[in-house]
Amino acid sequence: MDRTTRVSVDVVVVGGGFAGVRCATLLAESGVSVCLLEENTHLGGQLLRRLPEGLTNNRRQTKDAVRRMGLRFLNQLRMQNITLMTGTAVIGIYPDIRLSVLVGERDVVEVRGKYLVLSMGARERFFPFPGWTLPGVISTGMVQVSIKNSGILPAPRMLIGGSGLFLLSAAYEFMHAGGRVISVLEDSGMISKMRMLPAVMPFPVKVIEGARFVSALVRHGVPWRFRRRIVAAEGKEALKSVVVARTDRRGRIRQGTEKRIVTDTLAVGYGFVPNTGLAAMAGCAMEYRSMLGGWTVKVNDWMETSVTRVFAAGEPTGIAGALKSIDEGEIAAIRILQLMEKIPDALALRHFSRGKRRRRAHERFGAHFNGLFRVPLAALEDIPDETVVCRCEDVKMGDIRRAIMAGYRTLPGIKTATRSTMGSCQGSTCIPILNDIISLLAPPESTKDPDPTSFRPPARPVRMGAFLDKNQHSMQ
Amino acid sequence: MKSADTLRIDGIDRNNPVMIRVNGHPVRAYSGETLLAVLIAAGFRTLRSSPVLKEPRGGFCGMGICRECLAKVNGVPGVRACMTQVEDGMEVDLNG
Repeated sequence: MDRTTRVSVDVVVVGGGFAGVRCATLLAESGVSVCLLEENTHLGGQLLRRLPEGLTNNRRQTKDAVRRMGLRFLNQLRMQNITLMTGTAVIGIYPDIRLSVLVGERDVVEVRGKYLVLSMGARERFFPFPGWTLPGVISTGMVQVSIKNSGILPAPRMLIGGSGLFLLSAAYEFMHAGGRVISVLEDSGMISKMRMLPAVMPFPVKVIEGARFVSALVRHGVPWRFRRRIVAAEGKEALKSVVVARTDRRGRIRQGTEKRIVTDTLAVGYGFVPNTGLAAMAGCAMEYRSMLGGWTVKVNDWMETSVTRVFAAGEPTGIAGALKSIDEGEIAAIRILQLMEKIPDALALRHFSRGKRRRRAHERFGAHFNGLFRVPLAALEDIPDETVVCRCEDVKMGDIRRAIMAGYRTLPGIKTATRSTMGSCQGSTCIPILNDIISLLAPPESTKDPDPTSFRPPARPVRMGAFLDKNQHSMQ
Repeated sequence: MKSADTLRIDGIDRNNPVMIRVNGHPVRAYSGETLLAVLIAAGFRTLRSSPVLKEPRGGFCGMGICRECLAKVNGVPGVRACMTQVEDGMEVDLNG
């Protein structure tokens, strides 16, 4: 792209996952001009990661119904009417839908639209333990990315721990690619899992998927253990062993049950957090929905946020998976088409009543699952003081406890007192953990919800050169 | 030369071999692979030390969020290895 370009379109869509792609497709089909911004080089989000050019897969593909559906939607995306900008990052959102977009490492392009759809997806949630910063402790997401984007196993053998069905999905992909899983350690209890059945029944695709994961574990003789907490990762330069303990009904460690497992790789994941930073920057009101992942973008039945002509769709409005994202991307598109008078009201209304029904079902499903696989707040009590919480600034649990004791009982307060969230990842990793710590140790008196965090540009670290005048820049 | 193909998954055609240098050591890789995956395959697990405690760190999230895998690439510091595809002749410096 010419670096002097200024892009001006009808609709700017941020995030090319299921929600963004579905939304852009419907808009473009109706002759609306769309600028689709995606940080990765591929479209389709986390679920459609695949090998790039230069690497060709001859392996038997894993059978995944959700993935197949996503690929089908991706194939419907026609580039007519769409300005696609992959490998880009939105670093600022300003009034009247003006976005600063970083292209590559050093060029900033201004993108303007009449409407904005925010569909940044979700990121992984983590639970800190001593040693989780050691090389060799990786996220379950990294297992998938390494296999799907590079065709490389992150290790020949690994332990998988944390909470959620994504642990099984990572184990499945890893074993399918030739890796050996020692065991899958689930933090929550098993009995409660029997209660998931009524919530998944409307979604046969998900039942089939879950059954496939579990049967793969059984086939490979990999144990799936419940009420197991990763208590510590040990090693000097890199991971050497992992200490695991049993937990009680409240989620507290049962002292004396600790066991050491020798492994140089541990993959951890504890569910997902909505990516809401850019929505906060756009001024959208937030809503704390602990069962849907914490802070979510507040939307109405048409996916409109509190800011005029700004929409949110998919995981940012609450964690409930790809099917919700697809439906919300559609609803946002239909609403925009209605506002632009591209489709008759009657047609839009029919879509909305169906969409509203389906969203409720997705939210029920999401809340149910997130609730089943949630590490209880009480578990935070067991985190030793020496545990790093903010990885970028090396802020420890003890620092945060002391700050709270000293009266810094809000996220901005803890930030000021400890420098946590102020490092290079800008709080992406530690803010959800800090929100949980605040809910447990310093719950606000009026409401049980922590304060939302403010979010200002740049949304990610940017080289100063990116802000220089283009002519000056090229003279460097 | 550090080169471990044991972690490269069978059944994938790797069409364009490339050479990169990591801390001066030649490392074979294939275009399309991310720098982070190449480093892991070649046995480089510690990529840097943390700013305050100077503790060893390596790739964590793998998708551009946590910024644990920052490396100096072709002289440019603070590049996310997980979001960078390898290119022939790439020079990588790890401070870890």
